[in-house]
Amino acid sequence: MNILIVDDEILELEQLVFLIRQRYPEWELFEAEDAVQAKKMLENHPIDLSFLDIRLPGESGLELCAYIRENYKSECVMITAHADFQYAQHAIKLHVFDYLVKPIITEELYRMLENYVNKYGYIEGLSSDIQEVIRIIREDFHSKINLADLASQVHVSPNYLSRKFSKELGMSFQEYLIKYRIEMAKVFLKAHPEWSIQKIAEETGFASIYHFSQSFKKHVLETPTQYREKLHHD
Amino acid sequence: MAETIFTILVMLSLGAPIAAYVVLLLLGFLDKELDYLQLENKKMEMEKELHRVEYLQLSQQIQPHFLFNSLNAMLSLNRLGRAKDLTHALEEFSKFLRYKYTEKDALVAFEEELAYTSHYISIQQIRFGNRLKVKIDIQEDARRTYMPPYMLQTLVENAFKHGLEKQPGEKHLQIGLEREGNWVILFVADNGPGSENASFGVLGVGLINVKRRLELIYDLHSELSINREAGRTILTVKWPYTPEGKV
Repeated sequence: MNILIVDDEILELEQLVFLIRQRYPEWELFEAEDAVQAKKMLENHPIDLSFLDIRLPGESGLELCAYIRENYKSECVMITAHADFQYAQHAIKLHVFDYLVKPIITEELYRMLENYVNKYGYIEGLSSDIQEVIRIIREDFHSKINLADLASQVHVSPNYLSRKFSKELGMSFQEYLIKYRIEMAKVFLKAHPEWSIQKIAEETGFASIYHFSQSFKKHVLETPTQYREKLHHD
Repeated sequence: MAETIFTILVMLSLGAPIAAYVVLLLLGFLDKELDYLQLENKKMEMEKELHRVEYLQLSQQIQPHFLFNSLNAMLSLNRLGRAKDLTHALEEFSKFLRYKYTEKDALVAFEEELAYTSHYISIQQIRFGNRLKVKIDIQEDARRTYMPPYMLQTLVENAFKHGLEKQPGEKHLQIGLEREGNWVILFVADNGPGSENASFGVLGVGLINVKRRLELIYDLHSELSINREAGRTILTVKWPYTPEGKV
């Protein structure tokens, strides 16, 4: 998990880093003092969540948030000195994840982070490159994914990634990928009764309908059609 | 002869009451006029007093933005285990509050006002660290002047709110006091990006209030202006040199 904190108050940066590190020591934290520095960080690191002071010097926190929402798949949390109705309205329009009101209350910060973790399925205790691999799988499961490409995306060798993945998750990369695709297939079978099995297989990244049916049967102990029929009966 | 005397007597006995009545009427009118003038005077004094109370009340309010930022800075210091810095911050904040809640005369010594404002600046210094640079130049022959309370503080708060807090990188604040004949000139400059108000020389509510205060205290000329010059916003106040706490 990569976090970006943008604030021109050095003390506030130190405080947030301290508090987040205390609760999630394995997360990577990046700091920036203004929008210019923040944009550079965003270019060079895959940032999951940004904390933005609403009153940044230069480009404001809200403008930076709009930029992040437009260009990256990343959430923003605004930090304001006191509840300000106008700002809050702006923030809602930009679909910010949440906002924190200064002074920072430990409990409020941790509750917000837990909400984030629950929403995005972050798995505690994983190293940041494995988190990144999982994030990519969750985003791109419908297209072709192979270990070698993933390894180059997180700048490690395929062998190293394969070993690290099995060690941290207790299953191989292939196994995890298939399990995830099948979970998504279940979601689609339920949500789109009009979709053909062929379409479900395509949308979940299986190379063929045969491959899909075999894998599904192996994990769920029934065929996709049986699974769907049972849902309709219930 | 007797007839004329009689006529005069009749005229007198008739005329005297009328004349007396007219005089009485006039007296009453004069009295009312005097009353009216006194009332007018009293009304003006009451208006002045009302403005003084309003001004003090407004100036005594702590900007919520500053209050919560200060608390946040102090919480940070505590969480980071910087006990010495936290004590310093709490002391500065306490001295800042102490001055706020002290009864004020119409005029206070400039030095007292400067000491008070420096507590505010100390807390900002804790928030921004080395990136906030403060320069203070006080001319010796101006130092002993008196001024309306909270005037310097209002100018400095203005510089932070509309200038320094919007300035990326280094933040420069400069305070100067000079003597010009029978007048003193105070200026507060910041290197912030400047607001629209500043470029057009328009004063915000807080500054208008200070200007009005000066006009009500001093019969002699006083002025307060804002302008942009060489990338800085400069607030300038001019008022009669006042070596004592009385006008």
